[in-house]
Amino acid sequence: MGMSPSEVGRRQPLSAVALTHSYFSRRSSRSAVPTSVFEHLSLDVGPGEIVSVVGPSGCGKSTLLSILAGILVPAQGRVRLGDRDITGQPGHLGYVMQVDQLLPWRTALDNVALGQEIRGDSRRNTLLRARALMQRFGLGGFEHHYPHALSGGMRQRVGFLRTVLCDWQVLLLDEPFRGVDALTKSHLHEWLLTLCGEFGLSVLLVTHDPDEAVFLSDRVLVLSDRPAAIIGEVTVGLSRPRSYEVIASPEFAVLKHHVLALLWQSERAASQAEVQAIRMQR
Amino acid sequence: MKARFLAVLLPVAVIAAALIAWDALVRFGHVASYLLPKPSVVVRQGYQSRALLLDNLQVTVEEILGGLAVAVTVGILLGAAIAFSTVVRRSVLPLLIAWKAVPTIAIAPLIIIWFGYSTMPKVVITALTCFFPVTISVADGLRSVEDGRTILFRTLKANRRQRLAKLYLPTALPQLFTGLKIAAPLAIIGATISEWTGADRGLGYLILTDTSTLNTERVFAEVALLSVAGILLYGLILLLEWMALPWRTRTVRSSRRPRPLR
Repeated sequence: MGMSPSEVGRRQPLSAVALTHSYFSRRSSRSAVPTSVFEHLSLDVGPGEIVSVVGPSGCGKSTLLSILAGILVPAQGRVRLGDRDITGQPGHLGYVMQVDQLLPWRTALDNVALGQEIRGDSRRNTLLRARALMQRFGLGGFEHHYPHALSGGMRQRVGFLRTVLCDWQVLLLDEPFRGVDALTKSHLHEWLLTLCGEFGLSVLLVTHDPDEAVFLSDRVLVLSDRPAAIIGEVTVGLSRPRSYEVIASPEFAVLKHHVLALLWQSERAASQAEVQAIRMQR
Repeated sequence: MKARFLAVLLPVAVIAAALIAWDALVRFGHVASYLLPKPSVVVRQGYQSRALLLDNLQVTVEEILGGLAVAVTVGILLGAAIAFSTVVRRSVLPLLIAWKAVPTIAIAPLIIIWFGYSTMPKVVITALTCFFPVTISVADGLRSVEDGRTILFRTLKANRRQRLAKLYLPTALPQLFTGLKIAAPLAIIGATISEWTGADRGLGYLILTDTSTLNTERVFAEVALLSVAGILLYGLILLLEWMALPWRTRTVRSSRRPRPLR
């Protein structure tokens, strides 16, 4: 089931080119003033790379992921997977949302198998793979449990494995660890790094937690407030595989400080813009 | 253990207390038997007429089950149409609500005029009495699919049939059972009423004729039989629900046999 080195080599990078998106708030539909979410935003995720996007809440991080996942079509710009244009086409990337989105009427095993089943793979083969994956990644013995009987952390793992079983090369993670307690979160972080390492997955993670961003990523992108633009990039030189002890190291503290400084800067810029806007109105 | 004991004991105790109070009222209040017979008399009378009662019970049960089956079929189809089509929702739903405001007993004679005196019009009247909750619960159930799950199925590139079978139907199933639980007692009312408007068989018909001859004791037996049928029908629905929604009541899927995925 593991990925051979040549297959890992074939993994393709994800790139977003000059994305521009705005929405019309319903209240102002008569005047139809668009609110710009981002303008000419570009980013890329290399093969096997883990990239985090952090930014003030409401800056359009989730919108960005919806566009990359093909759920939302951007006003302008393209999304590419390798040479392929996948703008507005769902089904090319894995997408793990805040809420685990397990189906309560399916057992953990049947939830993991959902994607393959929809593709029409043989049930026997699908279940064999799903079972092996669950065994390997700490869910052995819980195959026949219904989601409501699993802990939050386990449910999230089932959600990840469902995505992994679909053989997607790139995963989009939309704050998947939100609301998980600190201890569970640390286990999930290590677990995710092992998973990504084993399958050579490329990941774009949206989060508001600088610790999480630095610990999990190879690169951290900091977004400004709306319209969102990348105002800074921090390259995390920590080697992978990582263990949680790294968060106590001086290197980690420096990296986290970089990220925080950029976030503060983005926040200051936003509040200054606001002050300016109020002055203009007067 | 204690909770389970209470769950059985409490209803039994309440019913026993009610029967004793009833008996005492008749015994010491000197109530005439044609007004309120003693429970023991009702049981004796019921037992004596058991052949007649059971024959007619069968007729009524057929109407109830037939009516429910029609109501569930129509309710699922109509509910799905309401859920998936804005045009149907806007046009048919107000009509349904207006229809619901008309008491069935007011239109039952019309249906007898249209369809005659066979079993069919009774099934129609029963179905008309109880299809509304099924329709509404199916429509609401199908519309309660969470956005995140719709997105999940889009990223998995599920086709229409897969979305329906693997997402919409399982989501709506619990609410369908809620609708059924409301519909079941209504079906019994519908079947009884249908027999009042034109019938020569059935418990509803017997209640009517026995009332006119002041055979109050047997009327009580017939009413009791109807409520027993109601309890059994409700229990049957609970059993079906328990079998169809294992994730609601169990933590682990018991059967290890591979079975087709929903």
